[in-house]
Amino acid sequence: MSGKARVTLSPALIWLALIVVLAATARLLPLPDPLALDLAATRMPPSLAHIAGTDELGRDVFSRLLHAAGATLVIVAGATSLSLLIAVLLGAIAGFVGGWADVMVRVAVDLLWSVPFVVFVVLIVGVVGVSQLSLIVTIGILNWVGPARVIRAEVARLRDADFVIAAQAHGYSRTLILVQELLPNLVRSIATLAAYGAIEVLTLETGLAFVGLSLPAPTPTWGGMLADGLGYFSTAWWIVIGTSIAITATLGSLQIAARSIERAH
Amino acid sequence: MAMMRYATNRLVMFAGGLALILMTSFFAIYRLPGDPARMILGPRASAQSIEEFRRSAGLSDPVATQFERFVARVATLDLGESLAYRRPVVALLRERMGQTLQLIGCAFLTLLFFAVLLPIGLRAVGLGLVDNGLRALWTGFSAAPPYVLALLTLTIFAGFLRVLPAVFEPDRIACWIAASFVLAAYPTALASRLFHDSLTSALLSDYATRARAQGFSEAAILLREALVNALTAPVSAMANGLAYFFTGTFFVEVAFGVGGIGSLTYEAIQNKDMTVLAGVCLLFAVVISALSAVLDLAQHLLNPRLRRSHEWQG
Repeated sequence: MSGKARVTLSPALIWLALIVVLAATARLLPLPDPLALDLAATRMPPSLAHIAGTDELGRDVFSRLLHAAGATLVIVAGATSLSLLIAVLLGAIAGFVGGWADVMVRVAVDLLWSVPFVVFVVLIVGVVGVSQLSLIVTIGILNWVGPARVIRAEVARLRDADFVIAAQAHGYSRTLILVQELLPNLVRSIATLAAYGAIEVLTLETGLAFVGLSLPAPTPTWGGMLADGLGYFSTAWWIVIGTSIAITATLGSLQIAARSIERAH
Repeated sequence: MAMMRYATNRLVMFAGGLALILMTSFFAIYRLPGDPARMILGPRASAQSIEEFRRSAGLSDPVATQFERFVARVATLDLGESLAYRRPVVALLRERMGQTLQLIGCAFLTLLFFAVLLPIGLRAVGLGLVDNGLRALWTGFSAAPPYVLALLTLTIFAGFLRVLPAVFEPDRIACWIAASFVLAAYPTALASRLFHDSLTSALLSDYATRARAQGFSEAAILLREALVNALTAPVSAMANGLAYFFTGTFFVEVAFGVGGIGSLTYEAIQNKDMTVLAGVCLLFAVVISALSAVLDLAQHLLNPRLRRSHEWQG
């Protein structure tokens, strides 16, 4: 990795680590209650008492941002892991076993590929109702298609490598070869796919929350806070600005991380 | 031969995708949360009128029969009645379609101008640096998702500078420019980067060197030699951009308050209006998947290198 790449990578990783740690410990930190209304201090600009200001009901914006990060990160991690699990499983089987398994996975991939993903998620989540679980399952089950293509291609390429043939000559079972020989070679691809997947899920989850498919009130979400801020962008700009910084910096950091994992190949 | 097989395959997948979407919308409207008769007649309906409605609407029939009927209705463009507005969904869609199409049209013009036409012009007159600057600017814009970009635009231009109205006014051209810039930001950044890379490599190619040796000017080499060869990359990026606009418009319309299909979806979500939600999703799914099928086929026709193999790629 070049020196320049490392310079941009470290702030990105620091930001991501900070978000994860702060989100995980948000309940323990000496912050105002994110749900506590204070009708005497509505729409207060940033100050020492409220470093990112307060919203239209007097709730502390900074505290809400951190609490929202927790709920969002759980969804991002859950949906990304679920879709990667499906992708690795189906991609590896299709690439390694070949034959009818390959054809079946390919049909499923092509089918889901031809359907617009966001529209599908809006429809399903709109009907089932929004919860962390429904978002994780819906996004996870629909979003494995792209990663599965990559994994399948990697496995098909590795299948004829010398070390796999050697393992076969030793009489290892297929499962053992997949787990012990192939999986370690896929780690980097999986990490890259995870970072890009997280970007996709975060963008989608926040967008859904923005258009009203948010976790049930009063749980704060970044997208929901943006939607709240929409009504007050001329009188309480800090709601929009603070939330925008949180979303954009997290997405940008993930992007930088994803690119540097990809380049490290 | 390979082309024919690819075309058939792509069409079968398009049909399969449609079936998938139809099934999901069917379950969305008729099967999932609670009793559809109760949903359509409202919470105060009597048990008797619900029973009557179930019989007249055929809700007690087997699921397969109901699904068949649903598909037949959709095929004749009957998407049912909105639960909130008590009007046919198709009429609502038709009414709201105009502003969405106008927004997507403006965004496509923005994309075409800033990703292809302006870079060609700037490079032809030797202003490559300005082109680089603009490209960096678009890349910066595209780092934020469309809904964040929309809100930042509103905060800065409507909140602080007051050059935009706070509420979307369809007669003001500034509103359309703002909304279409936000919608176009991501595809423009992508297409202009791809176009720049392919133009640069075309200008370094052997045929460009030959033209240079023959004494052609840089502008002539750019316009007559490099351009045609460099166009495939941005054309496919623009095609993908068009499909992106149909999902992006959801978020941009809600943020700016454009009264199109995106806002209709938002209202349907707020009102739990499942027939409208399913209708919008059906329409957008058909449009987007038809668009991407046509674009895939067009790309295979235009680019001979894609025709060689239709093996799966990573």
